[in-house]
Amino acid sequence: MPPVHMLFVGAWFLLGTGLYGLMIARNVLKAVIALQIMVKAAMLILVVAGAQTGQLALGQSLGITVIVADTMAVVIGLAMAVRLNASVGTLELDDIIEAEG
Amino acid sequence: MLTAILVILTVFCALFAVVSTRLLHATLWLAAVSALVGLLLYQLGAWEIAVIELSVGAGLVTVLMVFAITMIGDPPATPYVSRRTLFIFVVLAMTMIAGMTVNSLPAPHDVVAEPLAAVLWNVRGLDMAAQIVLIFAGVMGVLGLLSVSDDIVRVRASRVAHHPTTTDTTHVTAAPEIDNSMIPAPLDRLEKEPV
Repeated sequence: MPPVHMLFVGAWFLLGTGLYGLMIARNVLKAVIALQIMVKAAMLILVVAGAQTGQLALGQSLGITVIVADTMAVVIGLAMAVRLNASVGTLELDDIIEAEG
Repeated sequence: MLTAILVILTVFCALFAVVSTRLLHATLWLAAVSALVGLLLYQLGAWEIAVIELSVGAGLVTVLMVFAITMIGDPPATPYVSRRTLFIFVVLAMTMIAGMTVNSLPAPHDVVAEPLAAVLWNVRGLDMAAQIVLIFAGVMGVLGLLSVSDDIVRVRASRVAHHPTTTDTTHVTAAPEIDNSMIPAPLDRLEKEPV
C-alpha cells in the first residue's frame, strides 16, 4: 500500500477513535479532547487529498484554517468548562444535566 | 514502513487519550497525537503546516488544557466504561468507509510548486479574514478563562467578610491565593453568593 493510502486509512481510523471518544465522554474536557482528535483526522485527510491531487499548497491552506478554528474552539470550550465548574461545581455531564434539571 | 508505524502509533495514542481515566494523562496523550500528526504531515511534504501543528497542537493547546485543569483541579479518575459493541461498530464502520474510499483516490499528480503564502493571501483571502475574527473570539475566550480566577477570589473574600468571627478579617483585603478549597462545592452556585 502506498504511504499516501496508509495515511488516508489511518486518518479514517483516527476519526473513528475521536468519534468513539465523543460518544463515551462523560466529562466536558474529555469531549473537547475527543473533538480535537476528530479535527486532526479531518485536517490530515484534507492535506492528503491536496497532496494526492497535486495541490499541496491549497490543502495546507485549508489545514491552517482548520487548525485556527480548532484552536479557537478549544479555547472557548475550556473557558466555558472553567465557568461551568465554577458555577455548577462539576464537569461530569450527568451531574450537570441533573443540576440544570 | 515508517509511515505505517507512525500511523499505528497515532491511532493508539488517540485511543489512550480517549480511554484514559485522568484528564492530565488524556491531555498528554493528545499532545503525543499532535506531535505524531505533525511528523506525518512532514513526511507528506507539508512542512509549513507540520510546524504549525507541532507548535499549536502539541504546544499551545496542551499548555491551555493543563492550565485549565490546574484551575479546575484535576478531578478524581472516572472509571472507563467499556462500550464494546459501540467500539466494534465504529471500527467496522471506519474499515468500511476507508475501504470504499481509498480506491477512489485519484492517481497521484505531480505537486504544483506553488508558494503557500500566495495561495493563502490570493486564493483564500476571505478565509484569512474569517480567521482573524476567530482569533479575536479566542482572545475573548482566554480573557474569560482568566477572569474566573478573579471571581473565585472575590467570592472567597465576600464569604470571609460575612463570617468575620470565624476568620481573620485582614484576609479579606489580602486577596488570598487560589487553591482548590476556593472552588465552590457541587450545586453551590456563584449566583446565590452575595458578592
